[in-house]
Amino acid sequence: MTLRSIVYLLIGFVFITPLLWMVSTSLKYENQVFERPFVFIHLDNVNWSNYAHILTQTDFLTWLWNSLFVVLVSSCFRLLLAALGGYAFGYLRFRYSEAIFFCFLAALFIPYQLTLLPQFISFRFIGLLDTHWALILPNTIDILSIFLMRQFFLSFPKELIHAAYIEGSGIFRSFARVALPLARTPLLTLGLLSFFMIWDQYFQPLIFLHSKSLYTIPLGLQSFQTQFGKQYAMQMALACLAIIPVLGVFLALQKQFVESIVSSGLKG
Amino acid sequence: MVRKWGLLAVSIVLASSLAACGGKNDNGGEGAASKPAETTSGSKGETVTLKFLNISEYLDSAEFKEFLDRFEAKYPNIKVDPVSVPHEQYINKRNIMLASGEQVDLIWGNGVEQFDAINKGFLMPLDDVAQEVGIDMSKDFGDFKPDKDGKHYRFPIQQNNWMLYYNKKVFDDAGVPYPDPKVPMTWDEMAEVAQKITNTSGKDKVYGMFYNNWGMYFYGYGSQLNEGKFYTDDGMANIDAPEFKRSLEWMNDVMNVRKAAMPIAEYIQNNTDFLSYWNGGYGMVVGAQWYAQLAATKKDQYPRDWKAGIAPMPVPTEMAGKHMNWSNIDSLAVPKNSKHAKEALILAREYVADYTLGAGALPMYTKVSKDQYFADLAEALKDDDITLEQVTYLFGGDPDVINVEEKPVLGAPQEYESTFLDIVSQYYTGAMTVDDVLKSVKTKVDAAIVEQSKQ
Repeated sequence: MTLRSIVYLLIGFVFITPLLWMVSTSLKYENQVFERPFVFIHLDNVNWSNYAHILTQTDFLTWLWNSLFVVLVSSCFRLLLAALGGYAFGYLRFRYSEAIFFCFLAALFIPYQLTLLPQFISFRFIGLLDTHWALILPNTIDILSIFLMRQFFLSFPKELIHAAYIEGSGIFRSFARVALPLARTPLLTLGLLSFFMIWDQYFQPLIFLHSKSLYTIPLGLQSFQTQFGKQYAMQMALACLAIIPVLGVFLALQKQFVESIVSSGLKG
Repeated sequence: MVRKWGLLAVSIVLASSLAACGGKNDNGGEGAASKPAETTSGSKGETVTLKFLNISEYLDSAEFKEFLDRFEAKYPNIKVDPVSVPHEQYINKRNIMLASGEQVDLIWGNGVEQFDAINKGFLMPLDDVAQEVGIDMSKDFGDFKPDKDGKHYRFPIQQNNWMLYYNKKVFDDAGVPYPDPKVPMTWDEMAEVAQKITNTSGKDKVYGMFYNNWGMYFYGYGSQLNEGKFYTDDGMANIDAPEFKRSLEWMNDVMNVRKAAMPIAEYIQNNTDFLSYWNGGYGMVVGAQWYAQLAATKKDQYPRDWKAGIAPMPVPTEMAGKHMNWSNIDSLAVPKNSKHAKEALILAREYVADYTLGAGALPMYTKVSKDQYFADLAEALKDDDITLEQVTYLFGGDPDVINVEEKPVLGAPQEYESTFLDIVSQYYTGAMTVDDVLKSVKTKVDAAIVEQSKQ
């Protein structure tokens, strides 16, 4: 038992080390970042000015708001469309549904970088470039999410929907009143995963946004970079602040998230 | 019934996918770029908006915002739309914007990046347009030669001014006299001094020499020897020339024989940053003006209890006594698809004359006074007992300095540098001989140059 605890502790320590390094670095001066020997925190000379700089001299709050806006709007639409798509492909079935779904899956195999230039040209042509919609709209459709919801609805008890039909519900009503509430757990998990994935996106905002006022947190993080190197201490201070909403969302929904994973809510 | 609704649900999904390709015509769209008012110069009183692509460190500063206010007040018919990109991803964004036909009017780039753009056919020659705004590209930037086919594609901002920075405390502790402020050491002398001041026996190791894992720290000595001849006469890689071999061997001597510099494996493993020099554990480093701008003058961010000194950068024995510099020019350039080349060059001219100087860098443009720049820098470094005379001599005020190329910029410059850095560490770890390293780099870079010439 003790040995097992030690092993778990060690594994936990490995996972938490980057986080500790992040906090430690955020409280240092730039020339202390890679000092040897490593000092966790210089208690006699803690550098709080990195945080002060981030909060007063940068557009951190704007970046934070932009990130939250893009992530929340994208995630909501993604969940709605994933549920609709999953229900259609997994439960309703229809002529050529397998073939259409295969086409959806095939899109997963196209490397994102390959689509970047055509996407950029399309967005420019229709005027979406340098707007948050250039980030939101592509994020609303996620093939993997549709796939996961399809797997859920494949094993969904048909009797429940049939009962709804018998009671006079139409296709949308039975979806909204019966299927959707029962899909709460996988949708919650998908929502959390989507939140983290979209929150971390860097390349899309980098390419599609020009105006600094539209930047999201990952782009803001790169502001502390010169052509010669990075200001790690400043970056880590921003990262510490930026992690708060993510941590908040995770902690708030942790119980449901773990439950859904444990109970294999997303059946494959 | 079920089929019908199933098809409807899938249709919604598909329609939403397509919605990603539809939306309002916002700023930045083609419509915005081609407004009639922006297609002509300000001569008719119409407003021109210039899209200016640059790296974040230059566009996000308070000084740049102040410069823009001054510029737009001076030229009310020219508006500037700055696009700021972190340097790490700058080339990706630049390539996508230019390859997609996005109208960009002015782009920033260092030597490698601008020659990459020239090779890709992104840029327009500037000589004729420059005449229109009163600039002579062959005279107004000192000894600045045409880039390709006798034409200038780059509008120079500043060039690096390299020197030797040293830690006076490390020299004092070792009882070794400081380097001469005017007469450069030879590389061999530097190796000896580095060995003398190295002390790796204590708890806090002190290496006599610090280096960056950048190409010039390995091949730069060779560049001084052969006047920056990184390419053979037929345009292929010249990295296997004896001068570069000697350069790599010198570094091996300092690092692995004299043990006066951190072993490269440790350097990479520690993720050593180029600003690590300023934590005090090193005696000397060859660095450019950016060390002064980023660290030496910013003691609030890089606090230190030791004084820094500056001296000319070391030279080969054959060049003893001469003041040499590795030249790498940052510049602005006008993409071919710009519709406002003249206004772009007006912005470029004001950028170097006003902003560059105001932001603490020395512009190559000869029509601006540089005295204040030297005075401000000397004032910022006075706590290190560095004088105005030293600053003027080393930070770009010596007309007799001999400039050689800092790095390869002509054929496949990005591939040249990255291939070299990918392979060279194997020599210093003993995995490959110096001849094998240079041969391997040459083979790969030659292939990249040939490939590029086909495009």
